[in-house]
Amino acid sequence: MTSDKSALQSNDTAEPLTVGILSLLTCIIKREWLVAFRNPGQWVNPLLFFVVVVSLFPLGVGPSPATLASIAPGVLWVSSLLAVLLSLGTLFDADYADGTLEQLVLSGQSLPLIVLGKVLVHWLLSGLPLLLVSPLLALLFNLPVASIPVLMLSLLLGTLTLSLIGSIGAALTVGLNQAGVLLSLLVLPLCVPVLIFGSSAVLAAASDLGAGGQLLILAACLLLALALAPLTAALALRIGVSGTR
Amino acid sequence: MSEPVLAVKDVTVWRGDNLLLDNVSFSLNDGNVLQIRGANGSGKTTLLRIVCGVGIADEGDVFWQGVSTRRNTDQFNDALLYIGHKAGIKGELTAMENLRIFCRLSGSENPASDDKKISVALDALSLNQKADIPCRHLSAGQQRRVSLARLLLQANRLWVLDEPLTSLDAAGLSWVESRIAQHAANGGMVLLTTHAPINVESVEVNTFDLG
Repeated sequence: MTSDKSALQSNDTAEPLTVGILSLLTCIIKREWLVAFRNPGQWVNPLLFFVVVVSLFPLGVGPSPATLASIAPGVLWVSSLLAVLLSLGTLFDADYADGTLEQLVLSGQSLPLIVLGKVLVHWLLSGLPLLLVSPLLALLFNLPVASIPVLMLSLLLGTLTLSLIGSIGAALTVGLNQAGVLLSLLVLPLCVPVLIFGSSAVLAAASDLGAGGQLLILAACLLLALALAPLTAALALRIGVSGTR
Repeated sequence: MSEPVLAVKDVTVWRGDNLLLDNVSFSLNDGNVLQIRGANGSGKTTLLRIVCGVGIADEGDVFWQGVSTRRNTDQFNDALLYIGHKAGIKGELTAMENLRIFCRLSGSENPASDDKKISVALDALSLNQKADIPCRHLSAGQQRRVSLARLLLQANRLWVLDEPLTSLDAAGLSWVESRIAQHAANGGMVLLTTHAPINVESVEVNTFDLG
């Protein structure tokens, strides 16, 4: 056990103990994936919520194909926004409750990168399934088949952005009781641009107009969120973790 | 006189109108073991969280090698191993998976040698039969052992242990004591809270009473 001594001493020098970016990201992604895999409710619930909410609309507004086709972009977009929001609660709260969040904060590794890894897995399990069932629901709403690729592309860009923006809200409300409503109040206003351009892209495609402009703006939103959200969420997490006894 | 390695200076914490920690100061040098004692609610956990940087003091500061830990956070975090009140392990993951993450987070890039070290550590804590069971199916004492296995895996200079002996049996207790003795003998520092007195052979345990 004398090897301990040399190991301890080497820590003393200014040599940082940070691991490589990819190595850290894969570690976090693998961790999140395993946790989610053994907790199926975490990703099945938002998907079921999405499908159920979307299928309620034809019952509420009547089955006329023309009406359904005209409300479809808005309904699909609002429902996916709410489904993503619903799933945000699990992003940091479980880690906070079992103490792993403070270990991540204290690990000395890049916290924004850890947040990014968590958000990516969150999206894979909450955003991607929505994206995959959306064509089916679009057909249910009599949306022109030609507009389905645009719908999927807009949801791809949009749900990723929503997950990123949502991570800020989830980080700000970490450890609070009944944070659900507060989280919605914080996150929903920030999601408005994504909602507007997302649904208008689908609307434009359904009316045979080009949706390129809206999709480019969505892509710009995504890049902005990708650059800023992990940093902001990491700062909020540091505050959230130290706010407790 | 040279600067102590870890210095806690005049830490004061208010909880509402109550003064929880009143000008707490102490310091630690290489090879020191310091036990914080105090009744329930006297602020032991709060103090340890402040030392680690996951709690905020109303006044006072913590210094690592003479610099505030708020400034040299990275260096301090590299030297710190904190095992808190919450075990910090994911119930969905097995002991092996949890400890792999800790190895990676503490800077190791060699999964093969990590796995070897982890099985040795799990052996030492008689958890080798349980290595492949999700931790939520383990008993409280076994979960505590999983988090304490980190003491064998990470070569951090400062250990901050909040009630490390909770739910441990006699064998676990003496294992922790021997680890602490070894760490101190190797020049490491240990800051811990326990209610029970601890017997660490060959190393003097300083105590600090709160409240």
